[in-house]
Amino acid sequence: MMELSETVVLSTRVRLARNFAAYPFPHRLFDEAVARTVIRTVYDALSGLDDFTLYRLAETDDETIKRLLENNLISPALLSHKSIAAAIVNAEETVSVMVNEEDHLREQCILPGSNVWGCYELLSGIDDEISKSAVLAYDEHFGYLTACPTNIGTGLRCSLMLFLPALTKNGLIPSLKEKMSRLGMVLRGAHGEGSEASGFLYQLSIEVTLGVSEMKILSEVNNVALKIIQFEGEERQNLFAADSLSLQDSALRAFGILTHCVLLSYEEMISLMADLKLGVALGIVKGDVPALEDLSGAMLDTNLVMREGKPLTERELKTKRAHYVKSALQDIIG
Amino acid sequence: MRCCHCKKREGIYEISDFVGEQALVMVCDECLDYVLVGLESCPTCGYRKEDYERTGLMGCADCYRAFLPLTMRETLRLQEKTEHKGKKPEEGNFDLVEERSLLKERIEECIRLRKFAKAHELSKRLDEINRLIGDKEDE
Ligand SMILES: [Zn+2]
Ligand SMILES: [Zn+2]
Repeated sequence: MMELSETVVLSTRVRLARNFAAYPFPHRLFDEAVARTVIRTVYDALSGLDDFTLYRLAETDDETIKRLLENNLISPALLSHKSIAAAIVNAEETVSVMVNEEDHLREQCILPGSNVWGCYELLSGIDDEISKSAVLAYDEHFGYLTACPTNIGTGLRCSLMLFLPALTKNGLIPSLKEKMSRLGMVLRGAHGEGSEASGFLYQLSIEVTLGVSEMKILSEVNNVALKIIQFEGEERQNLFAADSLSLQDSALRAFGILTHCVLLSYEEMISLMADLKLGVALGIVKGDVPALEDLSGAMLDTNLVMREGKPLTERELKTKRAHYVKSALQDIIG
Repeated sequence: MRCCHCKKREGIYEISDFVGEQALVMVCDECLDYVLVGLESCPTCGYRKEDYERTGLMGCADCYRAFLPLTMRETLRLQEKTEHKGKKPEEGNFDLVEERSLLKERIEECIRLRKFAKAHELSKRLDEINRLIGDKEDE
């Protein structure tokens, strides 16, 4: 059976907000020449580190923008400054620096599993490199200065993507949310409030940025993650003890549909995947939860389009998805 | 404590009265008026206080100092603490004490996940830091 933590924390995201000291914040940045300087400076600073791709949004086609959005490499807010905005993304697409979003720079790293330290190490290296090339807005008292005072100080935000089927089914999410908020953290449905029921996916994030060091924040998130992993693990055992037959039934039923359907919408896939992932997590079905999660991501409309290299109709998307899922599951599920 | 505004002179007043909290920052005699009242608009970018009220965003980095009373009020409303702790731009790297606590946690995690080779590698770095700064616990 797989390591429990890998089946509970699916991915980790850390971001740092930074600004150039010399220029107005992006919502007041009307000089496009200055905006270009910001983009160029950051891109040049990063080029020495890794193989980064620069996307100037004004020159990027809609399909690519949609793909960057769906893979969380850019945010919807970046699009509202399209004429001055850019994204600088590494080859593995684990690190992206959004330029001229709410702040001049939003440096972010997303890695699979529970890996706050890994994310921060990668990001910190990038941040150091940028600090060498630009004077960043920093104040002895208030720390890194950001357009919105909610981000001043470390400018750091850390969030985890959690798969919590047992806590959801056993009705324990409301009390967990309350506990988290007492710790200064927020637990919410990964795709907005009320989205929990379909995929059992949640986002846990910590909001404080002033007066608490990066290390302390990351270490708190890490410790809370360990507790949630344990909690979810216990509830999975309870769930299994209470009615293993139903769980087996749902998991195999989901597997049956996913490997035999011909038309598959993204929403239906997510909900079936949730049952299958729970079955895998409980050891009812042999498989790999992170691989199933990767497969779900790859089955987003835009990723299917990129894979095919041409636009697809609604119906083509559904047939391609059904086809890929079927063949991928034969490899993932043993 | 140094004056929070000019950062040169020694602070004499605790500016706790106008923000309603205890011992937040100190301010010197010369800067007192400025700190209590703040400016109407930012000398660097021309942003006005009412622009902030409307957007919830500052105009540039210098706005934070220009609107200091507003900054303090918002900081108290939005954040738990009022003074930064953590990374500074010129520092670049982690502070060694913090790196040490990070390493300890990572080593435990590696052991828990049975990644012993990685744990060994990390403990070598831990020894190195302990040599540099002594292995007594902080706090
Ligand atoms: Zn002063
Ligand atoms: Zn300003």
